[in-house]
Amino acid sequence: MTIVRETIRETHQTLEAAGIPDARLEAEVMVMTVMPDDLAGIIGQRLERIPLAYILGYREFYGINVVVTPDVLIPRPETEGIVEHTLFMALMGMETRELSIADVGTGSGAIAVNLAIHLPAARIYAVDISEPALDVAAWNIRAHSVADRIRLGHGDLLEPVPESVDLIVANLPYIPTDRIPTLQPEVQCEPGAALDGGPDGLDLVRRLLAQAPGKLNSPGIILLELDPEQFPAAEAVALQHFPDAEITAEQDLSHRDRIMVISRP
Amino acid sequence: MADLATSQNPAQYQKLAREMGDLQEVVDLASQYRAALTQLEEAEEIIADGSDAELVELAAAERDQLRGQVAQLEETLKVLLIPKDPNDGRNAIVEIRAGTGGDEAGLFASDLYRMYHRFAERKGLKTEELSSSQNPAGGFKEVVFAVSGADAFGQLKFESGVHRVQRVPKTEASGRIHTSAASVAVLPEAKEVEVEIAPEDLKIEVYRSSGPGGQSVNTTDSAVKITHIPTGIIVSCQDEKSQLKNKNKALKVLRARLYDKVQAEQKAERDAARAGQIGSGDRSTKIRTYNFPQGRVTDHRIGLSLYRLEEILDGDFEKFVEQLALASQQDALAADL
Repeated sequence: MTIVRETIRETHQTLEAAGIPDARLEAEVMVMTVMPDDLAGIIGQRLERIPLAYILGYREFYGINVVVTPDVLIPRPETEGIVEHTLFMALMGMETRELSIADVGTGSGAIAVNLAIHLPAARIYAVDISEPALDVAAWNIRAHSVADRIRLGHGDLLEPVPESVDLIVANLPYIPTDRIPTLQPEVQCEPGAALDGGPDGLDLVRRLLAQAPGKLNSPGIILLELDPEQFPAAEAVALQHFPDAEITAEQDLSHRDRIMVISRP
Repeated sequence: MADLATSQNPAQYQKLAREMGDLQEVVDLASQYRAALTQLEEAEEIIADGSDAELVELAAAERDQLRGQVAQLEETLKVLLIPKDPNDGRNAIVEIRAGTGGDEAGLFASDLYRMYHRFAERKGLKTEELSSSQNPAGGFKEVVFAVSGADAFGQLKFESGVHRVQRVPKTEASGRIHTSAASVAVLPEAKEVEVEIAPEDLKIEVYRSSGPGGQSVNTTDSAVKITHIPTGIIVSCQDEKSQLKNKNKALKVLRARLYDKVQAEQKAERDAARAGQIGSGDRSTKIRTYNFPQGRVTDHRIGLSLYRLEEILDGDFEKFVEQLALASQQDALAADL
């Protein structure tokens, strides 16, 4: 065990010196996950600022392992909140009903797969504009044996969704274009299309909300992940398309507004 | 147990079946005890009567043997009648904190962690790390882990207290012996139904990055910190897994700490009359010294020294557990007299 401890300490120092965030934790994960012969290669990749999740090939999300490749966004902890809230909404008074859900911009399928696992009666459409991303989602769907409940669709926002649904969940790219180059090198390694939301970050959200009235049942709920400062603008757009909706904001564990919930009566 | 309602409730049936098994043991021994007493009486009668010399000889021999038997059965019965600690069968949550001694104390904390890990392996118990905080030298400032399996708590409960180490630290160039310490707390795992935690009593936080968070940040850490507002207890869990898992781990530890708090308060009330008790008592008591130069580990509660430091640190400290359990029993017997 002393050898392992030493190796962790050395790895920690190497990562920290290079400015890698969470250096100690990553050192532990690397040493405990990777075969000793492969460790040097892994560290080398990490020093190029390739995210650890891409190097190891997976990221744990809401209790399950989600396979990730450079074709998809690495799921963020904040997004676990949207899974939680969606489950809460779905289970509140809707237990016996067969729910239909659309996960728009599914990427790795992290959200869709978790919803399928916890809502055995739900019918889920997971859609994305990127075919490589859909391949990753397909893998995760098969890996967790939920292929019978999730249908994948390729296309722009809600277009590939074949029917009107009860719930629309979307973690669409919402970062303003200009902010992206200022972010961590690790974020730069992720697909730009999965992050870039245009000048104010809300381009895709706006288009989704414009398409939504035709694809959302009454009653129906939309859950969107956003950045805190986007809420006023997004709420205004939501009210444009859903004037009778009740709109609330749920916070993440950092006490920041993170999820916009639009409830159509 | 023959009740229809019970037969339809497997958990209740199991509980009653276990109780019956325990009671049966006592009942059987009690019968043996009464039988031996009766035989002893008969033997005494024959001797008192004194008419047949041969018979008297036989009776005398029997009497001596029976006296021994009766005494032994009495002892066994007394022990069986001591109320068992109801927590013995539970899983345990173990918290190790480095005490005085800086880096060296942290390294000792990690040695103790390894000791318990190896103990668990030997005993067929499972360990799961719940939270830890390292210091730069490679040791632990604090580590919290769960041990699960048969009688996990019962076997580890005597470890609560301050463990002291005397050795030449790795970092020490002059070869001088230092004394440092680590404290261990062993808590019984609490079931969700036993500890009511109202969601509004909890403040749940994660490390807050500068900037808006969310998609803008890519880190491996999803540490969660939970504060139980009414009691001020804080638990944090950090690792690379999902926020959900970290939250659940933190809640598990919180539940155990709350349960322990309630138990400790109740115990304090009960023990107001009793002194000098061995058991999961005052956490700041120095219970053991690990002396490296002498290869000796001494448990101060029972005054037992074993010269098997290496083996003990490799998880082979069953002897201490045995002797401590015995001493604890004797205490309980003495208190009831």
